Amino acid sequence: MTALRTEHVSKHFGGFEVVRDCSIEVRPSEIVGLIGPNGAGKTTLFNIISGALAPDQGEILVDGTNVTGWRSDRVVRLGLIRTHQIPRPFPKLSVIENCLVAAPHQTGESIWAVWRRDRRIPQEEAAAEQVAWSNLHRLKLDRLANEPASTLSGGQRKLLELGRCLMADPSVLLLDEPVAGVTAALADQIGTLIQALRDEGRTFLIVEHKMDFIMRMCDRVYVMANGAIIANGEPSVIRSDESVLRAYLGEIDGKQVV
Amino acid sequence: MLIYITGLLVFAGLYALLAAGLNLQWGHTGLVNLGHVAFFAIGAYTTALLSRAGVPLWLTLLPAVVAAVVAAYPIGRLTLRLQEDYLAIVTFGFSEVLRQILSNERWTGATNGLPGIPVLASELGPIRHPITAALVLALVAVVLVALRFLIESPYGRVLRAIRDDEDALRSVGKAPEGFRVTSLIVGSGIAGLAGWGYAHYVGFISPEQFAPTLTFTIWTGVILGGSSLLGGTLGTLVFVMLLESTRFLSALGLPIGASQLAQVRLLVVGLSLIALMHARPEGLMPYRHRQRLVRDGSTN
Amino acid sequence: MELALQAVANGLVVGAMIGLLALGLTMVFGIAKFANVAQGDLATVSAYIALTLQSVVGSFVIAAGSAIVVGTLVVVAVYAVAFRRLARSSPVALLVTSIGVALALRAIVSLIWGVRLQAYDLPIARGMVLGPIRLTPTDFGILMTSSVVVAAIYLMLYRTRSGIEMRAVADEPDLARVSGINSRRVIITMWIANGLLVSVGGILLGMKAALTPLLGWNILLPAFAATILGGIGSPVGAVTAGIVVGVSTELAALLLNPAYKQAVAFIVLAAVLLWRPRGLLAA
Repeated sequence: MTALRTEHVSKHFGGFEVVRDCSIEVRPSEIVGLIGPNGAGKTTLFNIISGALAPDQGEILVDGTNVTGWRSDRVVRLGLIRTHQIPRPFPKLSVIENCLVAAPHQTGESIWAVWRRDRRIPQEEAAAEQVAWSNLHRLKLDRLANEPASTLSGGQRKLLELGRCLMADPSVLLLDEPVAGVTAALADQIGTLIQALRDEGRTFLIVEHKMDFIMRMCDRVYVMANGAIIANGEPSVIRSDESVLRAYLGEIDGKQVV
Repeated sequence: MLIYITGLLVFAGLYALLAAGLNLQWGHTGLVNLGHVAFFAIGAYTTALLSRAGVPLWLTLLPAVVAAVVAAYPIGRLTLRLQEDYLAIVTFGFSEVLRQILSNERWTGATNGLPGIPVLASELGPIRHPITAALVLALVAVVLVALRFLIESPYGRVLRAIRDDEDALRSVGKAPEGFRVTSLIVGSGIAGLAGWGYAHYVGFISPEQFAPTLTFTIWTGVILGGSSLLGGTLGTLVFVMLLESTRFLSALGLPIGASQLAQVRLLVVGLSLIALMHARPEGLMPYRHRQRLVRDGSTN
Repeated sequence: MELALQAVANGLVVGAMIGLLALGLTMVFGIAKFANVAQGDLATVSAYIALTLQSVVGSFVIAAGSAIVVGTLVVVAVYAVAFRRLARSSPVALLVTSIGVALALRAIVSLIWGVRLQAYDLPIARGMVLGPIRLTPTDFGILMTSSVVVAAIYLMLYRTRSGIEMRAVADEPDLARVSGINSRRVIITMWIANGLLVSVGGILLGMKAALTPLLGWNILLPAFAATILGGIGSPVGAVTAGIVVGVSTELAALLLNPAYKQAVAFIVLAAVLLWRPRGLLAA
């Protein structure tokens, strides 16, 4: 059983086909990369998988369940979560509150339970705090726990978004450029964390432009260009694939591939 | 003199209730409810009609609150799928339409309103004033405590997340819809409660007492005070006191008539809103999250 | 049947004025990205300026014409003082500011001109009868003037460079910025256009109804209803919906208590939004 599968997913905006007949598959505990030139449709595909956008055609299956057309919050509750290219923390909430708000199954989110003084609430809160602290510690954000998220740097926000995702205990994580714009040291740290999480049984689909990161981390790589999947395979094979090189050489901003 | 002071306390309590309800909706959830006064009116009219028909006062309290809640529910659901500006327009439209209905229907007394509403503790003579003040302040205390429980709970945390970024909330697996609706109807229910207290203190209500100016005054107070519950409530009380103090301008011998003073108050409200948005939109006392400690007692 | 036709005719007249304000609202929505609650009261200001000018110069036409110019300047001044520095704030901050502007303007009008009903000095003329419909010269004036103004705005939006830039900023703000469009100039142009719409609308309103400080405020809800119905950002939608709102409220007044005209506009709005959350002709 695959952790995530898309089947012939297509989406167009106006007359423009942004995603064309994309079929990809990610097996449990795999780390799969999704690369391609800018504008290839990678983030749009993420949006479709996560439920932020509905596809015009095709289906998305998470752990065998058809989630096509589901709202994104429902998909998260099933076990698939995504990070954003530009992180979206809750700016006025503290770092730890950002995590706590993502903790699922909270009795305390019901007004009646709160006014009833339901005893489960402080219990669940304590448990959630414990998980949050351990996640923040793992991400080395614990000393910033009570700071408003708006005070975090870009790299710290990426880490926070990862930590927030983990609170939902996801089985499949879609990471949109997790190490773009971060220092090499931080990228290493994130990479190590992803591998540790994979060893815990989680599955990853990662969009990235930093090729050394993709080469190091990924079991397999899909290549997208002009909305379609043009190649897939192991990183070492992909890097010398003719069609992939051609797709990238057509790119204007001159990113190095090989 | 006693009557004057206790009257002030009653009105302060009613304003505090209205501000607290709006603070939940705006300060904590980010909802732009421009129709708050409508739910105040619904509470007042519901209890007025029931009590004039003979229902005892203590039995009309719940219907007043429930009427406001029931009225707010469809508004909340209607605006779920709409952009945030639409909520403002729809809520404002609702309060204006309600006022027109109240002004034109026979059974609501039309523009003459509803006199002869039984007042609280009326049989006790002038002592009714401090008794009503005590009751209203007790209600305020109960409501503030109940709101504080909500605000400091996971529910309140989700509300603040909605205020910050509704779509980001969806991306962590929580749907904002239910929370928006409940925030709106709880705040409106509190306004309805204030309406009950108001009707049974003044004994006479008419549509012109529920003009949008009241909504905007409370708005200014809540914004001025800031997003915290205490800030929003205090800010409204301070602002209203400021406005009421203009009544004394004519006593100082300035050649300003009463209706002109009303316009001056309106001008102050308008200019305050503009100034607040420019200088300090987060208000004087924004909400501060509490510091959380790790198990060993330190914050590290 | 004659009553219905007359109601339609009245509705066209009222709808034309609603359409003027709604067109301005949709431009502010599209380019400055907020709901301008002060739209009605800005119209009121121009209406009263025309009143004062008429008492000075006597000729209504000259007074109205000058009031349009002065009114437009007032609108641009309001933008400069109240809205300009908040360009990067949230739409809610701008909305709340516009509420403040609305209240302040209304209070100033009341303090300067008083609250009792006033009217322009217009010659009393009998209505002209066209079959089952009777229209007064004022009505004709309103229909003609609004058509001219709307046509001028359309020409500006669809035939001039400024108009193209404005539509670009409204539809694709990021792309517009990157293409080198001077957003400051676009915004000022938009406020000038809105100023024109609002001052003409206010004076026409004053010709049709008596002048009170609530003149423009009373038409704000129908104007917002029209803007949303027509789809925010759609100039064609705003004017069309304005006429629809005008006609439907006049027709509804035949069946219901005429005081409920605003209620009808609101109910129409709510019903349409339930069906189409983005408005009828969303841009």
